[in-house]
Amino acid sequence: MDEYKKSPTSPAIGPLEHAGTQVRMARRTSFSSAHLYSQPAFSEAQNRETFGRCFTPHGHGHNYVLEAFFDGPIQDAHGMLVNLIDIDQVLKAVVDPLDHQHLNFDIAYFKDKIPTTEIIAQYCFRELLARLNASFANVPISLCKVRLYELDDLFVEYSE
Amino acid sequence: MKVLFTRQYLIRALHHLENPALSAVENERLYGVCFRLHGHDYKVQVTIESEVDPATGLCKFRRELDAIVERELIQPFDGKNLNDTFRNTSGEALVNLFYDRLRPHVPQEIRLALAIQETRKNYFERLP
Repeated sequence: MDEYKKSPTSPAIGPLEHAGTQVRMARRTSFSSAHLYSQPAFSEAQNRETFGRCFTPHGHGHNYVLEAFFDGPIQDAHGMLVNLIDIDQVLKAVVDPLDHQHLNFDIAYFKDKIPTTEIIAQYCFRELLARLNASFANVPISLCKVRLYELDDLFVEYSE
Repeated sequence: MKVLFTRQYLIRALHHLENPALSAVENERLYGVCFRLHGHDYKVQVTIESEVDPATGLCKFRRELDAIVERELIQPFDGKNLNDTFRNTSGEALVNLFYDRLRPHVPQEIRLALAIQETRKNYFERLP
């Protein structure tokens, strides 16, 4: 251990506190995308009435912030629920395809869906769950929910 | 009438993550930048579920909470190295360790919950 890290009272040796205790952890990431709200079954007037400023020919953009909440026990091997370095890789794989894209036109999932904050949250949850099951098959971690912020004052929580 | 009352306290403290059974290289690989001694503005959110006093409109134990958090968390840990006291200073462990320190001083009939915003990107919550 580096000298400056040492402390006369440091309990460096001894049992790891709360190994096995269930805990919830949230990790935040972000992406910037364009979207527009339009329901093809509606008339132009109905679309304008329903979606207001979000109904435009080209759309507009947001800096979305995604928070993923995980539940599981504190691992004896490292004292954390899961290594954040590994979680970040999974989150990056989920949001990178959305980053700097137009959701309506560039992302297959939204070809027949309106990319509202609600539906994007659903997409993120499902993508994250699939990748989590593939990458963390042997880690006792579960996806509790995602929270997607469109703006500071608007967010959606989604879970299945 | 019962309400959930939450207050957020700031604890500015140092810590690092390390497994003493591993070499420095292995620790670096496991914990990344967290192996280096660093600090956070821990935002500690303490919640009580408590009865509202009809005379004052304030929930019970609201005033006492500040003094207990000051004595049990802020005085011992603000400006200190958390590794002086705990072997595991991950956010996961700290939500539980901080809760353990407060629980004996809060009346049993009042439900207590605790969460920590470690950085803008990391949040931890004790599960009941």
